[in-house]
Amino acid sequence: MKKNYFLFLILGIIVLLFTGCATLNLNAHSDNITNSKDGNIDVDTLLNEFINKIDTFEYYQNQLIVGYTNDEAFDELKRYLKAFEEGIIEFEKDTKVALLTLNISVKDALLKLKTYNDFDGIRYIEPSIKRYLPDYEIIESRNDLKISREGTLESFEDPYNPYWDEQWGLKKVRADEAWQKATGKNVVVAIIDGGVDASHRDFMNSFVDGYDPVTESIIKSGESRSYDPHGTHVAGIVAANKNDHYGIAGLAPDALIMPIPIFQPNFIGDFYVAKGVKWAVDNGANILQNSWGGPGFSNVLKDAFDYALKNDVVVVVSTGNTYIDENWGFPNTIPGVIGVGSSNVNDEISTFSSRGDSVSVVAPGEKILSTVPGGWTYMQGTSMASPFVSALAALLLEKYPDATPYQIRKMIENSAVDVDEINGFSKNDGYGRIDAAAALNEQLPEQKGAKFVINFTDSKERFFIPNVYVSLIRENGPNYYARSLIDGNIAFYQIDPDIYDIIIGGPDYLDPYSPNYRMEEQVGYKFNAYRIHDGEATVFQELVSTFSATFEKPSAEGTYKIIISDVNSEANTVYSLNQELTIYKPDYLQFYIMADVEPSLEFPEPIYSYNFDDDSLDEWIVGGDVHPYVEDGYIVLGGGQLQDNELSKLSKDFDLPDATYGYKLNFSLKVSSEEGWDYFKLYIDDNLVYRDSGEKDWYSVSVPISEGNHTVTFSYEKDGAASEGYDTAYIDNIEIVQLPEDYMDYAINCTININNYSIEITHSLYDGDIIDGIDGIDAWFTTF
Amino acid sequence: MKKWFYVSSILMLVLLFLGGCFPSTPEEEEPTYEATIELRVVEFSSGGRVEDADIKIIDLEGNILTTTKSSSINDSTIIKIPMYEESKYVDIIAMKTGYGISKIVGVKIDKGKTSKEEMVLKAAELQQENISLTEFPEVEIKFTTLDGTPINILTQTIRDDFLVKVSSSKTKWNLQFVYSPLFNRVPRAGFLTPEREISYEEEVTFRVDINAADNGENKLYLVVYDDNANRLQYVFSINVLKSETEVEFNQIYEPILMSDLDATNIYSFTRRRGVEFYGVIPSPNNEKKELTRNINSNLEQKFSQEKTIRKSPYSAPKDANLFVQLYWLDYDSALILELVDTQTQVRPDGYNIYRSFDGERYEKIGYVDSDLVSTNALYNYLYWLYDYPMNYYSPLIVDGSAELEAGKETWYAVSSVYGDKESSKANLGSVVPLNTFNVILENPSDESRDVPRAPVFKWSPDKVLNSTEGTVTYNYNMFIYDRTQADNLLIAPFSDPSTELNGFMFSSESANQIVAPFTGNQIEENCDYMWYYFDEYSLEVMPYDYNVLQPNKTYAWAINVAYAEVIDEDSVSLSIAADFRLRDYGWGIDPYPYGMEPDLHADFTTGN
Repeated sequence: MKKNYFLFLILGIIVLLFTGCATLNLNAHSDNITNSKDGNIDVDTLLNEFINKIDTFEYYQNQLIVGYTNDEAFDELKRYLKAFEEGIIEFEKDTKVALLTLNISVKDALLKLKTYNDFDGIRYIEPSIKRYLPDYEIIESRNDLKISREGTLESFEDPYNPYWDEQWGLKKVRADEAWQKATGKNVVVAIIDGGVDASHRDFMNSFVDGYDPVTESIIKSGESRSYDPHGTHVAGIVAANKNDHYGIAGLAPDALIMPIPIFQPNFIGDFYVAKGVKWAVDNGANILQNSWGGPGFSNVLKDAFDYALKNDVVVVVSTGNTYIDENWGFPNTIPGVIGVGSSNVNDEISTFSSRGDSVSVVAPGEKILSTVPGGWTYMQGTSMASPFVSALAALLLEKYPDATPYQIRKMIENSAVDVDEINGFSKNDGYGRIDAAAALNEQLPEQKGAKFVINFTDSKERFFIPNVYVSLIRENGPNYYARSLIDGNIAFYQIDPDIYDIIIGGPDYLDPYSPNYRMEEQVGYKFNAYRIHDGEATVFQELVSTFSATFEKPSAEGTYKIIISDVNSEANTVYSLNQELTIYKPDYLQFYIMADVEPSLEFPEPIYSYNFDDDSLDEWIVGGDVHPYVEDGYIVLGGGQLQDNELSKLSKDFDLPDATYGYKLNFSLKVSSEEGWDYFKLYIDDNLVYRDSGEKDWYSVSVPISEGNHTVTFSYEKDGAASEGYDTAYIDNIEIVQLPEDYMDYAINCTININNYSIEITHSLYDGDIIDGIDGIDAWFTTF
Repeated sequence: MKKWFYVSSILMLVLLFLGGCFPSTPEEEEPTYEATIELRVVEFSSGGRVEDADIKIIDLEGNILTTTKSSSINDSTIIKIPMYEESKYVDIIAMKTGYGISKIVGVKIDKGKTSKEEMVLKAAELQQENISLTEFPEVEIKFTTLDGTPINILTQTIRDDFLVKVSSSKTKWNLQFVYSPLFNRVPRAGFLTPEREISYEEEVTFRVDINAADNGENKLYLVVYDDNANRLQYVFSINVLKSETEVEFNQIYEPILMSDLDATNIYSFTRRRGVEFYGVIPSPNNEKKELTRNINSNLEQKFSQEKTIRKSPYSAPKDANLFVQLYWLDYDSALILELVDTQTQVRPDGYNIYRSFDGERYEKIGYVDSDLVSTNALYNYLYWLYDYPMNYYSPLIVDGSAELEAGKETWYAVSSVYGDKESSKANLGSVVPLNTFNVILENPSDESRDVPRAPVFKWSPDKVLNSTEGTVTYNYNMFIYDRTQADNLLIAPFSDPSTELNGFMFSSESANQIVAPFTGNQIEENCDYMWYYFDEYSLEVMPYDYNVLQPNKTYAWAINVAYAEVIDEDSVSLSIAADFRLRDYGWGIDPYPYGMEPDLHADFTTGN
C-alpha cells in the first residue's frame, strides 16, 4: 500500500518540537506527483483513499480539534483554515486545545493543510470523533411504579426504600454493611453522561453545581438537565437517597452529583467532553463516572483524563458491551482508569460484558432498577455496572479523603469476590465482583501508585517522537498498552508499581502524524523485568537508527552527484558519485536523497509540441463554464468571469505509439488562485495527475503518460467561496516526449540499509531528482 | 406434482369427564392408572437442557403427586404419575437455585398416555435464592366469544374465533410480559414465534384464530413472565369444531417447495453462544432494514457491495440455540411467480406445519396465517437468488422446540388450510442439525510475545462435527486487528478482493488445524492469498505494504467468521461459532440480526 504514503504527505501536519522550540517541517511539499512511473495515477482517488482512513470512525464534519502551545501559531492556522474558534481549554500553561468550526469538510481541511508550512507551536490536529452511550438496554419501562408505589411507601424495612427487594445489586455488594461505615458524604461524583433529572424525588440535596461544556454555563445545583434517561439512571445507582421511604437507594446515597451532560442527547464531541472533564477536575470532582466510549483514540481526551489522573481524581469507565476479550476501546483502555464490567444476580459475568486487560472489576449490571425522569426503569449494560464502582469509590473517599486513584482502585480490587474460574486477575472479571462491605474493611494501601512517563526523542535529543508504542507486560495483573503523543510522552498514571517487561516499537509508519514513511525506519527496544516504582518517574528513551546507503554510478557517461537535503532546513550535503558511493547516517532527522547529473539530461524531440504563439488552439477542445482562450501566446483558463463552483477546461486526444518506457507530458504553468481552495488540475483520461494553487509564476511540469490513446485535460476549478488572485491558470509550451531508449542508462541503483533492513531502489534520472523508492510521491527518509 | 386430495374433516366430539378433571381421590386405595409426562426443561427457548432442577407434579388441590429431578443424562425427563382417574389436570413446577420458578398450569394427562411438554427455566434476574411459589403474579384468564359472552373453555366446544382476557396482579414481582395464546405451539420470542403477540400490560385481551386449531382436542398455550423471570405457562385443552368449509378439490393450493425452484426448504441453525430469546428482539441498526419490499423494485440493483457476493450460506447443546427455519412458497408468492392456477385455486387461510422424527409419523407443530407470511417466500427466493445474507430472510415458521437435537434427523411437511379442510402435505424433506463447535486460537496464543513478524496463524475447531446428510465443511475468515496501539485498518487475507466480501475463506472438510502463514504482500506457494488492509465499515480494501508486521507491536487476531455446514438437496444445516463484523453487526451468516461475537481477539506482541 505504498499509495498510503500519500496520506502522510497530506495529513503529516503534526509538528515535532525541537527542544529549542524549533519545528520540523513535515509538510514542505507541493502536490507534485511527477515521480510516478505510471501515467494513470488518480490523485483524487489516492487522496480520498488515504483520507478515508479517518472514516474508520464516525466524526463530526466541519470540526477540527487543535492542540497547541503557541497562541500566534494557532491564530495563524485558524486564519489559514478560515475557521472559527468555538472554545479553548487550557490544561496547563502552554498546553491548550481549541475546537475549530470549518466552512469546509474535515477532509477538505486536511487536504488544504497539505500546503500549509508553519506548524510551529501546534501539538496536534484531529477530527472530533463521534461516540455513543453503550447499547444499554431498557428492559422495562417502569414509570408507573411511582404511582403504584406511592401507597406503600411506609415500608420500615432497612433501608427504608420501597424498591429494596428489586435492588439486587445493593444486596449483592453488601451495601447495608458498607453504609455502616460510609455513605459517600461530601464526595463529589461527576456524572459525565446524558444529564440528570434533578427534580426526581429520589435526589434530595444530592447535587453540587454542574457544567454544560457546550454553552459554558453552570448547571446550578438542583437544576434539571436530562437529555437522555441514561444519565439519570446512572446517577441514581450512584447517589439516590436512602432511608427516605421513596424509590430506590444509591450505593453512595450521600454523595454529591455533579452533572456534566455530554449527550444532549447526541454526543457533544471530544473537545467539549475534555472541557467538561477539565471543569469537573478544577471544580471539586473527586470521581469522574463514565458509562460511554467506543473505538477511536483521541489526543484531547487522553489529555483530559491524564489531567484528571495526574490531579488524583478517580476515573471510572464502563468497559463496553461487546462481549469479546480485546484491548481496544476508548477511554476504557487509558492506563490508570478503573474499568468496569458487568455481572448478574447469580454472580455470573454478563454475556455482553466486554473482556480484556481494561477490566479492573465487575459490578452488578443486569436488570438494574434505577431512576429515570418520571419514575424508575430497569436497564442493563456495563453502563449500569460502572456507577456501582463510582459509588464505591465515593464511600472509600469518604473514609480515606486523601487516597489516590490508585489506592482507591486497589482497595476495590483487593476486596473483590472472584466470580470466574481463574484466581486473581483475569480478563473476564478483572479482580472479581465488587464487595462494598469488604472494600470498606480494607486498609489504605501504603503505595500511592506509579505515575510513570516515558519520553521519546531522537538520538540527538532534538526532537520528541510521537506514535511510539509501548507495551507494559507482566506476569500477574493486567498489561498496559499505549502510544506516545506529539510531545513524545507516554503517560501511565496511577498504574500498579510492579515488574514489567517493557516492549517499545515505532513510530508507527501508518499513523498520519508520524515522522516516517517506512516500516523499515521503525525501531524497537525491549527491557525485561523493569521495575516501575511507586511515585512519579519520567524516563527518557532515545530512538537510535542505523543507516547507510550505497549508490552505483549509472552506465551513461556524466558527472553524478548525490545530495542529502535536510527537510527541515536549507542544509544539504553533496557527494560525488564515482563508480560506487556509500554514505552513512546524516545528521538530519528527515532528509531527501537526490541525484544530479552533468550535463543535464536532454529528452528527444517531442512527438507533439505546441506553444500557441499563433494564437490558435491547435484543435484543443474548450469546455466548462468559461471557455479558455489564447492570449499573448499562451492559454488562459478561468479568469474574472469564472463564478463560484465553475470551471474552465481544455482537452485533446492523443494516440501515442509504442514506447519502451512511455512518455512525458511537459508544459509550462502559471497559477493565480486562492491557495488551497481553487485549483489548476491536469487529468489524463479523467484521472487527476497534477494540481496546484496559490500564486505561482511560470514553472515547468512534467508528468508521465503511457503509450496508447489518452485524453489530456487541463482545468481550472473554483470552489464555492471567496476568490483570491486572478482565478486563472496559464499554460504554454505543451509537449509530449518519448522517454529515450537510454532511460535505464541513467538509472541509479542504490541500496538503502536502515535498521538492518535493505531497500533496493532503481531510479532513472529522467524521472526526477528525488530517490525514494516510492511511486507517486517524493518521500523523505527518516532516521533517529 | 399437484396431487390434490381432500383431507377429510373429522368431527371429534371429545367428552370431558368432569370426574376426571376434579377427582375425588380415595386415600386408601392404590392408584389404578398411570400417565406419563415427557418433560423437557430448557434454559431458554431453543436452548439446552437444565439439569437437576427439582420437579414437582401437583394436582389441582395442591397435592404433590410425584417429585423428581430434571434429567442430567437425557434431554427429556420421564415422569410417571399414578392416577385414580382416566384423565386429570396437573401442574408441573420446576425450581433450581439461581433460576426463576417455572410452572406449567393445567396439563391434561390421560391414563396410559404420554403427554409431552417443554418448559423454560430461566436464570433468575432479581433474586438468586429462596424463591417462593407465592411470588408468582396472580393471573386470571377469561375466555369469551367475540361479542363478550363468557366461554367455559373446559366444557364448551369452540366453533369460532374467541377472546382471551389476561389479568395479572403483582405479588412480589411485577409482571414482565405476556405472550399471546397459540394453538398447539408454545409462544416464544418474536424471533421464534413471530405469529404471537406480546403485552406488557396488567390487563390484555388477545383474539385467537380458530383456523390455527384442528377439529377435536387442541392445546392452547399462553405464557406469563414476571420481573424475576418466574414463568407461568398455561395450557388449556380445548375442543374445537370448525364449521364446514366449502372448497373444491381443484381449488386447493398445495404448498410448492422452494426446492422446486432450486432453493432450500429447511435451514437448521446451531448457534454456539445461545441468545436467551424472549421478549422483543430489537432490530439492529444496519442498512438492511432499509430494503424496500416493493416487488416492483429491482432487488439486484439495491445490493450494496456486501450483498453481491454469494455466501455459500449458510434440543440445543448447552448454552446454545438450536432451531430450524422452514420455507415454502406461500400462495401469494406463488401467485406473483405465476405458479398458481388463478382460474381455480384459491388462497388458503393459512398453513399447518408438521414434524416427524422418523419420516413417517408426523405431528402438527404449528399454524401460520396466510396474511402473516404473505409474499415472504417470494422475497426469500429473491434474497436467495441475489445472494443476500441469511439475516434478510423471513422464514415462514421457526421450530425452536426442545425436541430438536443435534444429530437427530428431523422431517417436515406443510399443508394449506381452508377452514376445516386441508391440502395434502407437501414434504419439505429432512435436516440433521449439527452440534456446536468453537474455534481455538492456537498460534500465536493470547498474550504471546516475541512473535515472528510473519506469524503463522493456526487454529482448530474444538470438536469434530458429523452428519448423516453429508460432509461437514468448516469455513473461516480471519482478521488481524491493529487497534491496541493504533487506529489502523484491519489486515486480512484476500485471494480476490473484487469478489470476496470479507476476505479469503478458509474451508476444510476436516476438523484439522488450519495453518495460515502471514505472507503480507507476497504470494507464496500453497497460499492462495495475499494480505490487505481492510476497512470493515466501508469494506474498502488496499494492499498491505510489507511481508511482515511492525516490530515490537501488540496486535490482536481473530476468527470472526466460523461456521460449519452440510448441504443436501432440500436442506442446509449450519453450526455457527462466530459471525462478527462490528459491534452488534455480523456478516449475515447468523440469522440473528446481531450476529455472534467470537470469544477472543487474541493479543500477540511481535518481536524486533
